[in-house]
Amino acid sequence: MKTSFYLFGILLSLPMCNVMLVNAAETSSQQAIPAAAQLCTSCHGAQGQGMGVIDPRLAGLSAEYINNQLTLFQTGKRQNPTMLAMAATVQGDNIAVVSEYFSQQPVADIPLQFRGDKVVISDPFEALAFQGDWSRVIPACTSCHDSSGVGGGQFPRLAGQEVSYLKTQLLSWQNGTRKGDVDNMMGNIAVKLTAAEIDGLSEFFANIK
Amino acid sequence: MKLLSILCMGVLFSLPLQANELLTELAPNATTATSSDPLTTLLDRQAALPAVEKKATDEYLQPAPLADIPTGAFGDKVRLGYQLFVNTQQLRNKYVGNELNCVNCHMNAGIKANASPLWAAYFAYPAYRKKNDKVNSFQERIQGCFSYSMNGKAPVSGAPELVAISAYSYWLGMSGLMAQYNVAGTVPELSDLELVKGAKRDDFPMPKGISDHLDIAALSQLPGRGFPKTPQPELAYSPVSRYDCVQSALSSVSW
Repeated sequence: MKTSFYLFGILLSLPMCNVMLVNAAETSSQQAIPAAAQLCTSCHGAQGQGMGVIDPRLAGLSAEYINNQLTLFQTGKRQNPTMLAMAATVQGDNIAVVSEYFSQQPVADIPLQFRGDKVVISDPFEALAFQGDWSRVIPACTSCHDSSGVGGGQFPRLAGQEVSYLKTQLLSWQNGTRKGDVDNMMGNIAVKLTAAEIDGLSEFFANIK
Repeated sequence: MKLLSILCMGVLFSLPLQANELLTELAPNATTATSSDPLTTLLDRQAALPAVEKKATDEYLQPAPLADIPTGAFGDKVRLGYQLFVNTQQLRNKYVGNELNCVNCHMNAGIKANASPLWAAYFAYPAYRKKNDKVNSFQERIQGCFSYSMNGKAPVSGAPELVAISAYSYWLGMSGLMAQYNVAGTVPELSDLELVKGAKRDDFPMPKGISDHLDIAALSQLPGRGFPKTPQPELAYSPVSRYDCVQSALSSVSW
């Protein structure tokens, strides 16, 4: 009883009310949200499902990718005022805890379209996604982001991601406010995309659900 | 209460520490976002592949678009070849033992010049290879890809996969040559037996409009056929010498 009294006191003394919310969530939902991920869920959703236009989906991203992005926000290689502040709240071992939690959240099962399933592709954005445009040295998106853009490892899932987020990211790669991948791969590709292609590709992948 | 105050102090101290860590992280990185940062530095010591300027005299073959692959049995083999080439993982655990697809190295589905394009390879075989010390037909060369690059088990000679990749390679090369030398019509169809041999042979049915311009030797050395030569790596690869290194390092340690 003495210990629980102390614990209660500690909780009250903390200036972060979200820690208390954790305990509430832990008792009410089956999968406990780790304390470190609590703040994230207020924008990204309890299961990282995203919140429409405002916030991208985290479910379906690998732990490796989320982990890396948190570090990139913290070091300013990904520039986003909100995420600079939010990522700063997740430090040390908590980075792995948060990454693991969101990477394990469910996403809808989608039928996979593999490269080569269609030999002739009439839609120009689908063609870019599955075949690239080597006359401009643009590789197929799905050569790294995997079949139907489901992603894996260091490559994020594109399928079913929020359309405005995808568009913003391609523009950020283009103007250099997003960096930090190996050899600036994505920056090199994004600068070659036209505005129409950025719109079209974002729509194409967002609609894979 | 002692426990409580210790814990509270711990929490209070840990918060500003985190903020400090953030600040020190930000300062150096804001000014030095160069290629030497640890996140983008590869462990691999191999030098980057040099970009090769296209020589003014070089004319790379431009294979016909995939939409031009004809309907019918021959076209189906060409299409299957393309599909296997870009999604070789469909043969995983059958003929493929690693995570690679042919297209990982042979970029743009085996069409890109200087990335060992299929259209050039097809006219360079049969040829002697030091690796297995014999003259290799085109299908034997592809079998080598499955055994070594794909770390798998090669399909047997005449297998549909080898016929398909041969058909795709032939179609890319022949459609490119026909376009280059204004040879009218569709790509002549070949039997499976002919397809898997490759085109560097006297009895290969080469349209006259092409053989008038290029002999067999010239066809086997089409511009853009290989990978650009890379400098020798600093350290020679040898698992044996690495073992020796460890042994000598161990023996030099005075216990």
